[in-house]
Amino acid sequence: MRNKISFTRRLVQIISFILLVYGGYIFKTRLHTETGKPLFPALEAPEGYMSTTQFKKGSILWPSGTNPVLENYPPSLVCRFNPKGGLFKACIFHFISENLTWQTPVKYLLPHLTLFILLCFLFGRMWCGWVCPIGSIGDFITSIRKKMNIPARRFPDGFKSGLRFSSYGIMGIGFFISGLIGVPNFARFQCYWFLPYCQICPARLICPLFGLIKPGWKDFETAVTSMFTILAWLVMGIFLAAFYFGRRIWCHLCPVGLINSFFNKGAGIELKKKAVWCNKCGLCADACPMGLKEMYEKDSDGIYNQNGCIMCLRCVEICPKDGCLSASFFGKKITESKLK
Amino acid sequence: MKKGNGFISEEYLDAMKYLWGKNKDISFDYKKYTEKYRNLSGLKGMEFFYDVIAERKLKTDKPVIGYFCNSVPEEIIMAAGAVPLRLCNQDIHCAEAGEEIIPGDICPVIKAICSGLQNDIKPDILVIPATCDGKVKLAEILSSAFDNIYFIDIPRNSDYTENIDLWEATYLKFYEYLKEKFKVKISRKELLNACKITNERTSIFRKIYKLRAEKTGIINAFDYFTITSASFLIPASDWTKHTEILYNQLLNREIKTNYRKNLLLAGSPIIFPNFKLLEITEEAGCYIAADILCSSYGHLFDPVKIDEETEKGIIRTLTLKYIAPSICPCFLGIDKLINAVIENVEKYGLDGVIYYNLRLCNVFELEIPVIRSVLKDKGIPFLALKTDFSREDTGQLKTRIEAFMEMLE
Repeated sequence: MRNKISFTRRLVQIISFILLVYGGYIFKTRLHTETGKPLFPALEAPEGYMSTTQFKKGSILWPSGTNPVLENYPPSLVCRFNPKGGLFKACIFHFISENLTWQTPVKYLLPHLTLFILLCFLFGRMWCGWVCPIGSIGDFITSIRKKMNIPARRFPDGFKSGLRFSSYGIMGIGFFISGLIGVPNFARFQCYWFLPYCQICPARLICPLFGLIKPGWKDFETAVTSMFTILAWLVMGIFLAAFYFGRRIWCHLCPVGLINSFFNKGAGIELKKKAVWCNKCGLCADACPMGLKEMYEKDSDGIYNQNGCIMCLRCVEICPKDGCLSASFFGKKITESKLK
Repeated sequence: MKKGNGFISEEYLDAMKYLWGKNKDISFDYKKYTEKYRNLSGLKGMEFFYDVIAERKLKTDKPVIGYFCNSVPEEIIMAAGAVPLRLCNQDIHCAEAGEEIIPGDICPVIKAICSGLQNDIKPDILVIPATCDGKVKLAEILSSAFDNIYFIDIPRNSDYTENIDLWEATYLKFYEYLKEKFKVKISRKELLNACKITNERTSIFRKIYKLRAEKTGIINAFDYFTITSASFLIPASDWTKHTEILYNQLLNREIKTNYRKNLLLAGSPIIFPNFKLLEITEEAGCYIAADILCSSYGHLFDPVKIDEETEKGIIRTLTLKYIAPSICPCFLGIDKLINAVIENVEKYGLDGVIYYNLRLCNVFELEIPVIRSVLKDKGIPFLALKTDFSREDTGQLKTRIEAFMEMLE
């Protein structure tokens, strides 16, 4: 097989996409609380606090439908993996924002956070490259561009670090607002500012479509919702353009990826380089969908899990020198570069 | 100033007829010359390659594009429906005849190219990359004899991050030039096909390269450098086909060897018939187990690995085959050569490194101090030899190699 890693990645992406978007139909009986006690204590909004189920149809945060399957499971919102249940939510950003507002005691969050951190320590930012549903859609858009014979737009390093900086900003503002509206004095703003980033996140607009549900895409009831609606359109436009022209340039801006990327260095999955075998052809840097160059630039042996790396292993696949780059999992080699 | 052909103004172009002295007859019977190598090899598969290098003729009805150096993308030429022909010449007779045109202390390869082109094959288009100074000036000199010369300007820094966009633009320009010249539409499919052909060539070359390094004495230096020299003269698909046959023969070959040491050869290119150094090393019982020369390793080792199968994407990737990993001393970036030398020595457990420096090539000579110093630090024995095509210094070289071999033992 010519592109073994790419092929596997596509396969994993498709399976994950189906599981995340349609998983509710498959795991309905197993995860649903009606079978008995939930595995973990349910995270619920305290009395008088906002939760997504309180939004009415057509508003931005309406969780898409009343059908219990659709409500509980991914088709409603991919990021709201079983919102009432005890398991974890796929999107850490949503999870943290929501619970900051609800001021949930940390002990209830522990199982979720432990699972999240454990997964992050194992796989780093692999989520972005292999599982993330909007990343998969983006990769699909990219493949259309390739078919259309349009070359990828490449961005200077400064632009990328600017995006990363903005990502910190989005994360900071998102968490700050979420925390602020959790304070009783500001609780009256909750109906507008609840889950601020989620309101503009492109996943909220895209993923429900695959469950054949119309997302709340035009909510002009108040000035704040109008602002979020327009912002969401804008971000959606940027999202589509970014994936069409710039490969994974969007992922530099994504705050979810940012949180994952904190765990990249020291993650179980490691990208190794044997520097003496490198012929400095630059293919690893050129093929990197995130446009990272560290793998090319480094001149000594070592593990190079860069912050932006989405662990797609494209560099390992494309490296023409046998054994120069390799990926290993806790020291055990999974794959290494080969000519064919 | 209006330039007649892009190199010399029209005004002076006519005056350049005095440049080309009288046409010296340099035909030489290489059929006979290769006889001794044929007898030494005893491999059936080698017959074809010896015929190719002895004839030095390209049989094809497609347009021929001649080029020098390793920085001209063969894939683009092949996609345009032409046959690439690498004209680098190390024939001593050509070099002597070339002194009529280029006198003095100039690299013998340049001289050989100059007179070789007069007598040998006439390509439809000549592509000259801006690698060394000699090649740049060659474009001006040859512009009076050739109507179609294309000059590929390449920046000197071979660092990917610095110059990738410039390389891409340069190759795209060449691509557009060929499209216009041949009035063809090149689609992605043709480019991909061409890449596939050269990739097959790369993969069989790597197999031979590895086999040679791992099994001492499996193929002697003459045979090996004949194969690589032949790759200049025949289309890539033919080369792959015949090399595969040879490879299968090598696999079943019984080796009886009296080689004393396995060495790595680096430095200036070695192209048939400049096998003087190889004759000496073979005689001294030293086996060239690996080489980092632009005529073999540099020409055949790197594949095109396409990331984006768009037209521009393919051409961008081509620069990452030809320029970025180039071991040519004209570029900035000696790490690649040092990396390759250390890699080969460590991987195959070689005993030492011989650096072949073609006399009067400054850039190769300038690399010696750096490499010598690094290899000394790594504890790898290193011998630098400076020589040219003439056989006057054979005895002296022999003594030096013998002494080096004794030092290794």
